[in-house]
Amino acid sequence: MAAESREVAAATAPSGVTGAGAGAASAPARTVTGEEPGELLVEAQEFEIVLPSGDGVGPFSGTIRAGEQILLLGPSGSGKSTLLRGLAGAIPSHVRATTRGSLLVGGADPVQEGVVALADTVGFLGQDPVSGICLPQVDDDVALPLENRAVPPQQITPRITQALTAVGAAELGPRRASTLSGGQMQRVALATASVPRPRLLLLDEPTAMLDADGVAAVRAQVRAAMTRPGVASVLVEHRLDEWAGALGTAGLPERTIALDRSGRVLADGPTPAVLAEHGPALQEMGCWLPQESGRSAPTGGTGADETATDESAAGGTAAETDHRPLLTARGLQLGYGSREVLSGIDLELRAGEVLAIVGRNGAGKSTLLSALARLDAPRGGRVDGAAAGLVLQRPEAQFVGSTVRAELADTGASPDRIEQMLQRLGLSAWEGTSPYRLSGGQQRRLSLGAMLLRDRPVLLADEPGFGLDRGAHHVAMQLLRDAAQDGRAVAFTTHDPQALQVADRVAVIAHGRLERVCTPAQLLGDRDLQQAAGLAPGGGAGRDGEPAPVPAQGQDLGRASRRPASPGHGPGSHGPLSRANPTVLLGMLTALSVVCLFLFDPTPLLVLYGLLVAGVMAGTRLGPRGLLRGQAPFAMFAAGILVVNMLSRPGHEPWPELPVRITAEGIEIGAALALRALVIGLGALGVARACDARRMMVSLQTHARIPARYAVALLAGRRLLDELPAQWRTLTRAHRLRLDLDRHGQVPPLGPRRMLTCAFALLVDGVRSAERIAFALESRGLGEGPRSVWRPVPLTGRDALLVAGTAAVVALVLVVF
Amino acid sequence: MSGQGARRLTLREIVLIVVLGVVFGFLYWVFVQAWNGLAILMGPAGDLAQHVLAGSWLLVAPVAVAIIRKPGSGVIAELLAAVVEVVFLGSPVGPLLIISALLQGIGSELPFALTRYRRFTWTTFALSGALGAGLVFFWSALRFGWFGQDILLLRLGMQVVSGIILGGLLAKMLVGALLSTGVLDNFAIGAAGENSSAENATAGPGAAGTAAATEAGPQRRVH
Repeated sequence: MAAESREVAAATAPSGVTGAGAGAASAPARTVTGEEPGELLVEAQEFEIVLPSGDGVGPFSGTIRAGEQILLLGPSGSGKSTLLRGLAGAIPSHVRATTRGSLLVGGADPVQEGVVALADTVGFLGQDPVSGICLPQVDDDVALPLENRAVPPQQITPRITQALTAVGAAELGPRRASTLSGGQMQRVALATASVPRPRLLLLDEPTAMLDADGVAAVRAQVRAAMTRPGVASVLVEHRLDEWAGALGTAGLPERTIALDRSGRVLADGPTPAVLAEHGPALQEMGCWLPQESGRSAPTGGTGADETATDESAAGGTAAETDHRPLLTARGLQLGYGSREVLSGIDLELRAGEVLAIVGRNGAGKSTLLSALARLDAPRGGRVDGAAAGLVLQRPEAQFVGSTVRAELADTGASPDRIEQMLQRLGLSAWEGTSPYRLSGGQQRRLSLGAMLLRDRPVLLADEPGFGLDRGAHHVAMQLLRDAAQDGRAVAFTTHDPQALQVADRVAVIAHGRLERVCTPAQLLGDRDLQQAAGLAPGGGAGRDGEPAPVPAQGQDLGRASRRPASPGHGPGSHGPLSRANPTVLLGMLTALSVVCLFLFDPTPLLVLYGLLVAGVMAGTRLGPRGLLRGQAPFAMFAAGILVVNMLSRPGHEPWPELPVRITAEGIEIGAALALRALVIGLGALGVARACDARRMMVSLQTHARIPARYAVALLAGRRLLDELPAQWRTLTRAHRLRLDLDRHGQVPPLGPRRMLTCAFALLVDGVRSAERIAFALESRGLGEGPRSVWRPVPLTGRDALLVAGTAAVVALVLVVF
Repeated sequence: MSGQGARRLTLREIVLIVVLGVVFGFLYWVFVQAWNGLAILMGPAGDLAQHVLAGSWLLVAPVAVAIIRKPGSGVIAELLAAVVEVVFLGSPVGPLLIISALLQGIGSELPFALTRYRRFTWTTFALSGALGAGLVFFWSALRFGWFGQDILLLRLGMQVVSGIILGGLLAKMLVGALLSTGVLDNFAIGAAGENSSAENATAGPGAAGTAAATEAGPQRRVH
């Protein structure tokens, strides 16, 4: 490390370091721009945030003026995100914490006034693409901040177009958010954050959760947004090496505020000076710095995250020379549905060897891992050999235990070995803690450790370094290396050239096949191969730098959730009834339901049912098959009602010789009740088909006077619902990886107990999403003030006609039958 | 929608409730696939067997009340969950589900309201489940014409027992499990947990210092 520090000092000449030069905390710093100072946006005096856990950030004193670009730098756990949330007004209203000192943002007090009051000044872009878009359809989401500011609808349309065009997403407007790739989602989220023209842009690791290919486009757009005149920005970004790219330190914002591990301000000044002075210390703490500030040897940041593994403990047991193959793939053909992803794959995983699998986003890296783990049967070819454990990208998807110890105990390992593993992972102090409470680095170690305890000869890991700080990244990679040292065969996917350092061989996936297997040095020496692998820019991905997202496979919500993506989603797409006012339709169905409650004679109900079938089929363009599918579950229920009533009502018995008592009264009432259920069920099916969620919510807001906060929250819930099938699929697959192979050599389906664990994990995820969505909605200015509606849902004469016509028909039926 | 001033629901709480409704709605959909198969196998008993699961429809109300601890949270939770069911998931029950939801919400919330949202014991949860399932029973009986059947009391008994177990005790287990994951830390239940050291057991080493420092905010930790 010493040699490295000297390099750093030499690389960037210190120039005009500000008051923080001594490295002490809380040194106030003036702006570094040479021009006349911009408008004062943030003014902090000894501002400090303390979380209930005792962790905190600050005290910070200083100002931020319009035109400044600031990098907020610090190791994971130093409170960077907490400080950003404080600036956005989310503390204490969203994150329970105490504050000291004073803070003014755009003249308002964030602690007292909260997120909505600051929404006019602040634009926020978080790291999770999925909750970056709150509403089901892209342009509605971009319109939301304008609606919340009561901008007249005719002005909203051009501003949406303008904002989407500015981030290169003009064509995404009518798309459903759930059909976008991560990179597209983040660009839309950026458009939404900037459409109300905020003066302070807060960016919390905007590319942290994106795969390599999405990153470049998003970064360019974020940079453009940051440099808009009159705008100040604060950027949190932990992969500074990737962010700065070839530009090095010059590619970073000009001012840096650096935090230490405890959240104290280490320095505040011009970026080159801060990095020159504190670079080594920050790197030691686990930060990823730009290349010239010290690209480190792979052993760089040991011990930076909580506790590192003991490297020497595991070493040297396996014979290095014996690289016998443990898992062999021959002629593998992989894909799903009609889509073939990979073909002709021949690959050996050998004992004691670490294999890195690289390739572009969507090239099929994860698909290959799933096949090697025998989670999915290949379409062709075969996988032979030892059982493999697979650790997924998001450790949380795989957790089953209520504590760290329980998580390891689920593997069936002995208490002694669990104890050893806890120490090796540096998690002994956390053994009674819920895995969900761990940091990202700890979670990754835990999931790797749990797989190691299963004693499977092959260990597979999907993006094991993803989203980790430098220290945690190193520890995770070291665990893989150790596993190979123990005689396992190890394979992992990555898009990070630095991760190749732990690999013995690299498999490059491109163009639907295994392009090449070579050594890391060979790959790093071959620019074309690097481009094909997506490790170097260029070489032609999709039109906007990323391939189309892979559609979620398997199950679906059966109805509206995954309708064809873009056009045809407006009113009218499901027949004439979808142009009717949704509140009116709901009202009609309610009235019909109530009428049915008073009918105990099957005949009028049967007639009503027949008429309703015709109405729903014609009104919502429902074919006979769709009708059957939609009604099948309910027909079953109705049949049950009929049978129970036949058997359980006293009265006249037409067939006394039967062993069970069946009564005429029972048959009649049963038939009526069953038909009642069918009528209401079909009506509900029709209304659900006819009413798009947005029109329903807008209409309920306008015509049923549901408060906007409730209506928009419900619409955000609809957006989340779009994501749940894919999430559920990820969870169930992750949990299946814990099961042992069945006698066909495949991973079996989940039993009920594991399904419930998945359900719980989905719920935990849901609560987290709820917090992010609520914050995002408030930062879009959703409060209780007056607002406009971009695309109103009209109440017309046709609706009156529809009501009158239906009422007349129902009345006629009741009179005649 | 209800209450005034600080006791009104914040947007965070409204969104949480909606999300609970959405996630439970989705999970019901997943698990009901399996259930439907079972119900068909049971033949005529399938209609009766619906009472076995009746309690699970209540879950969202006691869970919301326990997390949010404000008047109206349970009723609103049921109402919003019903909107999700009817409008987004196309529940075949139709808009009448809103009335069921209202009754379920009132029944489920009442026991907590009587303790002024301060006691969240097994008994309160059990009572909540029993009342939630019991109150709505009479409305369901009207809708499905159960009055006049021989098995009315059997139905009521099954439904109340299901309410106690699935709509009460299970809710408490679920809330406890969620609390220990830390995702509820920023809701009322998290704040309440900090004040009573009993619930700190699950919080791990990070919370070790909190019991000592309740007065002027927690002590700042230095690494």
